[in-house]
Amino acid sequence: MDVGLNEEQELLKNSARELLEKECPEAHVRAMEADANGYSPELWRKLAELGWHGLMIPAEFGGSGLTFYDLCIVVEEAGRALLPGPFIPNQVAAGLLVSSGSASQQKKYLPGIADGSRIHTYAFAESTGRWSADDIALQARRTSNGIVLNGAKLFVPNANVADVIWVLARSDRGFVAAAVPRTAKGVRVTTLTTMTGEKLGEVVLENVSIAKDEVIEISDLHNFSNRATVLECAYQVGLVGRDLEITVDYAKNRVAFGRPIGAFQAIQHKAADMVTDVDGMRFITYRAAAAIADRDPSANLKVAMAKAWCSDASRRVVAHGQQIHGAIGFTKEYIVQLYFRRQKHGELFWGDADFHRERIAEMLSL
Amino acid sequence: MAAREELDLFRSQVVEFIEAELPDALKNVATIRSAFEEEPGGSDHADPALKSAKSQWRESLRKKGWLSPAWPQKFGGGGLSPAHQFILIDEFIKHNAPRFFDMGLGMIGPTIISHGREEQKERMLPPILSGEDEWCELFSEPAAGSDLAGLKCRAVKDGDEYVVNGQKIWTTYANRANWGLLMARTDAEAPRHKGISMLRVNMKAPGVTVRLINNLTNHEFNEVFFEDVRVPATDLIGEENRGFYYLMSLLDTERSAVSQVASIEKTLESLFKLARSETLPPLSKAAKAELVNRAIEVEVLRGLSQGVAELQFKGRPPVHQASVLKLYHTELAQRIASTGMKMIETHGLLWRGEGRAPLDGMIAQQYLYASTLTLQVGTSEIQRNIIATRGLGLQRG
Repeated sequence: MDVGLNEEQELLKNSARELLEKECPEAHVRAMEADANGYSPELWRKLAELGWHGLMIPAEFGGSGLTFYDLCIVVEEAGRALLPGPFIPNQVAAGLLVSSGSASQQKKYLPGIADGSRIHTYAFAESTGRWSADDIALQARRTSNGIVLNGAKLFVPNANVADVIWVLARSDRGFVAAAVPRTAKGVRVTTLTTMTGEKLGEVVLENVSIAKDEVIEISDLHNFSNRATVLECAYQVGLVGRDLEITVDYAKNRVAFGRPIGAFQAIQHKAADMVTDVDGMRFITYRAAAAIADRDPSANLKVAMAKAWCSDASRRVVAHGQQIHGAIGFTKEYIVQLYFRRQKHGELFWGDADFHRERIAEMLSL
Repeated sequence: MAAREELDLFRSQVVEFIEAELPDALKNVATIRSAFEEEPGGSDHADPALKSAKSQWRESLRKKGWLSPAWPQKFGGGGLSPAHQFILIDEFIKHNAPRFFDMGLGMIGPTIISHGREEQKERMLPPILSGEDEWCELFSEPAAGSDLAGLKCRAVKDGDEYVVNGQKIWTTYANRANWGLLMARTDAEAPRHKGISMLRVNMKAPGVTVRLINNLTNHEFNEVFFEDVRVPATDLIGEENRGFYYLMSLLDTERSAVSQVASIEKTLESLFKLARSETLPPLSKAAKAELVNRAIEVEVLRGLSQGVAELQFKGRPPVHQASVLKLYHTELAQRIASTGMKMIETHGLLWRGEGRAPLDGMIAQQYLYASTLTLQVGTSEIQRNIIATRGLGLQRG
């Protein structure tokens, strides 16, 4: 079932799907998993030409000034195609700059994001591997002309290829996000080996000096987390939708006991439950996206609900997908395993269901 | 989807209307009856002041067209898009304003509008709106429930009448209805689906016997027997032998009733109030966790329901989407009732009328009644079959 998209949004969705079917086929996903950089600069440029990187960026900085909701439509398609690389973290950084960056920061960074010449990412999580403000221990010490950063970040998406890493740090007056060039003095980036093939980095910062102009004072960390969290959900929506299609296709063609296995109710009822989960994920995600786009005060709650639900529902969907496929789903050659593995990233990144349920309990004063 | 501003404007008009027209006697009725709010026979009905306030409110709604918000305006309806209906119901629930959503208004009226002849629309719709006519649905039989096309009740043409013989079961409110929408076999030779017609039958006619079925919550379930009951041929809805297809679209309508969401929200809200109140000992961690899950699931339900409404608004009748909504909604209603029982622990054993029963035993009642929700209007298994075959195109088993 589809969310209520208007005509332009339908167009955006269809063009995104068309492009990714052509440019990001299964072979590309597999190639990027083995690739040291984990993304294709050529495809990155194509996305720039189509205006994907500047979707949310105002026209004066070379973007198209659309909403966060529109971005989610594109990210859903990215998830469907398992688009590898820094597309999402780059958008998280863009969102940070558009909503909280100073005029000079916007002028300095946004055009480079929009035209695809610069890649940004963010560094939030640390050794705890958790996603709340309490888990940010990295210190930003104030100096006369800026801050000095000391500490280590983990699970930094695509740190290996980012030009700029927005490092979230704790200061004497609240949280800050600092634009740290990957090549700055005192920065050491190591790429972690992951189950999903995602390029996640460890970023160690040793006495890294950042000028005042390069720092954003964060007044509400939720605004940042909300966008990052819902983008993970949107990617998952596309991912599970495709997993369902692949699975249904298999069930229609695989014959056992003299008929397609999809004719057995035991299979049909699993598939029906997948539909319910996929539809539910789509709606709860877009309701959260709308709340963010509209600056609705319920956004924190809706985002937490969306992530809690998507984390569990996406796991149920791909688990059914594996069961319906049988052993073929466990082989490397067959496509469905790509979805099965990548689901785990979206489930855990920005907090699993339990993490968000605890937050919800607090917000609902239970 | 209509522009957000337009919908916001409509919402404020609804609120204004409720504030101006809802009788004071109804404004202050603190109700926790949630899903059962609309059910007749409850304690509300004993109070004559409440009763007259309700009929006054019903009349205000009828004049406005909001008694049947989905019907076209030319038949006395509101002509509202599903998105507007959604808002209407939402505000009614928030304000504890009764909706009088019954079978005539919700299911029978739309079926007559879609499939009835013009003359039938003129004859049958106004008394539904005025409240003069109450309807029931005569579908299931002892040997034909999920497999409805196997029904045996016969209607044999005799001049300008049909003669009906057979039995129906699980008919809600057959005991109070004056009309029934009957599915009966009119062609015994045709393939099963193609020999069934839809008739309007007078529930007070000679040969009709209605018997209440004693059940776990005193829900008004009945058995209905037909013995040589004569129905004028003018009360055949639409065309002969097309009944099964009319019924399928009726069931899609019934399954996509967006109004269900609002009442579930109300139930959840009452559980949250209870959780925060001093009435109960502190909730266990497990009960709290369940309550959080239910809140998330209700948010999902809102989304699914919104999706069905948007499909309808685009003029694409929901099919398997209605089944997704029905399946999710009814299974969620059961989980909510179970969570309620978990919250009140041993007190869940107390029944209505027992002074110590939390919320007057409503949770226990819902717990029992909810077990039927996944059976009515097609069981959960039938819904899953529909999603798999009509939605995903998997072969029928």
